[in-house]
Amino acid sequence: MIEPHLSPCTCRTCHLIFDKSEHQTRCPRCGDILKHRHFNRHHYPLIFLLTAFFFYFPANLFPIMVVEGIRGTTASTIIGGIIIFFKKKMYFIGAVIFLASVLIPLLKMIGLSYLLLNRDYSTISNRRKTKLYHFIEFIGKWSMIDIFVICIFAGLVDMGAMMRIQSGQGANAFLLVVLFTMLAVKFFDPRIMWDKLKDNEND
Amino acid sequence: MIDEVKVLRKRVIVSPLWIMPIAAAIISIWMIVNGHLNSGDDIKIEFESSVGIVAGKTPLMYRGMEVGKVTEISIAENRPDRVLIALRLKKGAEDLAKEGAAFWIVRPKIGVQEISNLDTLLTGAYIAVKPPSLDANNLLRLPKRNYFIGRTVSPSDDPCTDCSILTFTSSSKSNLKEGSGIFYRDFKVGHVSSIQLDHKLDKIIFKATIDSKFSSLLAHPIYLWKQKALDVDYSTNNLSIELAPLTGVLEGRIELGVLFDGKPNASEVLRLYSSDVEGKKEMMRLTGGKVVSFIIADNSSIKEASPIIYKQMQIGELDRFQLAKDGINITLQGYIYPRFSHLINKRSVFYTQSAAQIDTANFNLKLAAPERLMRGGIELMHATDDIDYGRSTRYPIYNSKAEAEQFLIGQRPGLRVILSANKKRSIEVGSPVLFRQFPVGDVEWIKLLPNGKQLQIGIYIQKEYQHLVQLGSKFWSASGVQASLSLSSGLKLQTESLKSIVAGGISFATLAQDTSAKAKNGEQYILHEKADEKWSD
Repeated sequence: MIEPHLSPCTCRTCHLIFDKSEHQTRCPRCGDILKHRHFNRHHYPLIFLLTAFFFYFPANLFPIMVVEGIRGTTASTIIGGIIIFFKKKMYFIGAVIFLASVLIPLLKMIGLSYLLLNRDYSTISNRRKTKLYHFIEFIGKWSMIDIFVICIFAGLVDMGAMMRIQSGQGANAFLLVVLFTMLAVKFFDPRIMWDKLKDNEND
Repeated sequence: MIDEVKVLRKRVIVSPLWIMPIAAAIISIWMIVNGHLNSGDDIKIEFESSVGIVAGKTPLMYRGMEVGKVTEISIAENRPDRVLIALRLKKGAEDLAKEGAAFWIVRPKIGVQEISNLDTLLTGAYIAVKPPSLDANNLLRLPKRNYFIGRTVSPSDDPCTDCSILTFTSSSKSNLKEGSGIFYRDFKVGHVSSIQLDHKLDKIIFKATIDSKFSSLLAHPIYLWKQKALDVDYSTNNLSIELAPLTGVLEGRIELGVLFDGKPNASEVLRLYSSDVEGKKEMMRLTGGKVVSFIIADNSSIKEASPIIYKQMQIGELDRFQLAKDGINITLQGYIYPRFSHLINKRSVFYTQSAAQIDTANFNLKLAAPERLMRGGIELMHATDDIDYGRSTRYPIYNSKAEAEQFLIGQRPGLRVILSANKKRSIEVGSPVLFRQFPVGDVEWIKLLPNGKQLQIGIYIQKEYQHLVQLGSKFWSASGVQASLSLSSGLKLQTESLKSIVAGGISFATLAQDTSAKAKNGEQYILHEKADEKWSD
């Protein structure tokens, strides 16, 4: 365990561990501003999570991709697209899209909110919390695959009147969902998860 | 340490960043509400077949605009022979789904006459809609419906309500079908929209749509005829074989003729005639026009369809030549436009006007208008007097105005007598016949008898002076100056009027004692060389 009289601190930039009791404000190695915790930003993840949560509805209800062809315009939502893939027996692609577009953002948001809500009192162990945090951080970027696919399609498939692919309103909302969940994770300081535990131990 | 942390925590109470989730919530709610409002009503349409219709893809089109989309295709309830297509209308297009709206499936159509909806070859079929009314107020008043019976064919090629509908009957359908074109001077002005047997099953009722831009044609009397596929005309000098346009033979084709004169008879149901001539004749009769028959021996100077002209105005037109039953003459019919039909009576005389007329007497060259040179035509002339020459059914056509006048001269009412003379002297056709030096008639003809000894002169006396000619009347040549030298009376110069000196003439006198009887037509007299003195009084 850590010595109680010490106030250990880690530089977020260069990961140097030192004692902050000397009222240092900057990292002695890299010169970055030092803080024990981002306490003045502890509500940021919550704000971003809520924002992402609200955008999650239009992202799923509105068409994400609009295919303008000579047969007319076809707009498909995320779920609609997955259903089409499954109907056409393209289970693998359907599953990948389902994972990347529906499940991952959802899990991310649920997991993050779980971590945020259980910050002060814990029903699961710190190890599990850490695992969950790592998982959320890992899967986060995969949601961008949808936006990436639409961007590539929109760029490649532009044959005038024959066929054109455009992003729908849902794509904008979905982009915001992914963006804000990533921001939420980014601003989530995992150290706060353990603070309470430490306090409890101190008590 | 912990205290410091707690102070920091308390200092920031509400972050301005909280605006973000609030904005996100508002935007999301607005998007969803707006999106929900933008999706219009659901309607269902029954069709016989849904070939080419794809759920989720096939659009509902109105004037080239997508106003809805097929959401589902199923078999109609209780009607296994029909399909039910569910559509979702776009916001703002709900007014199209009012009672009486027509829905039909547009598929590519490739025929001889037209290739249409080619775009649907690539895009696939779509459903088209025609609202029951194009008037916004009417449309609002109509009740909303969400169940429709789809049509098999489009109400018309282009949804239009200002098209005119023509109804006509025929005894046979021949090769006409829905969509067969109606042509006016080889312009397509409309098409047959429906063909039905009438309730008595004895004739076929055709309904045709005339495009609105040609509807002005319907303000005139019109007639329709079915062009024969092959028309061999052997009645004219040349054998004429007319082959109808091939597309017309295959697709069916109705010709529309218009009489630009007269008012249409609204009550009359139009009939499909078998030829232009028949139709025109019938319409002429119905609208009060006159059909005139002509008989001519030589048709070299007349063309078919030439105009009939009266005082430089076209009052009608000629039709086709036909060989008369006698095999020598040619008969043809002419149509006099209704407003001129009163001009034709038994006094009418027709003649062809040659393009150039040379009047030798006055050295006067008269050229017809260029248009007349091209088209030819016949002119109408009227006798001034009321002559009945009993040929009102078939009019001859004279080869020149002079001939026509000659004919009219022969038809003047009055007395015609024949004088025999042994010399022609200066008497000419047209020389005056004088009574007390007053012209009362003229010389109509002069001919030499076959024996070569005598001349016969036909003279005409006007009707009002006809009683002056008696059986005992004496005729003498009044031409020139007659000088007689006698011992008793000395030199005597006797002259008639100056005109008769120049032109020559015939005088006559009727002696008082010879008032026995009036002369009859064809009475023969002797033309004396000179007058007896006692006649002159």
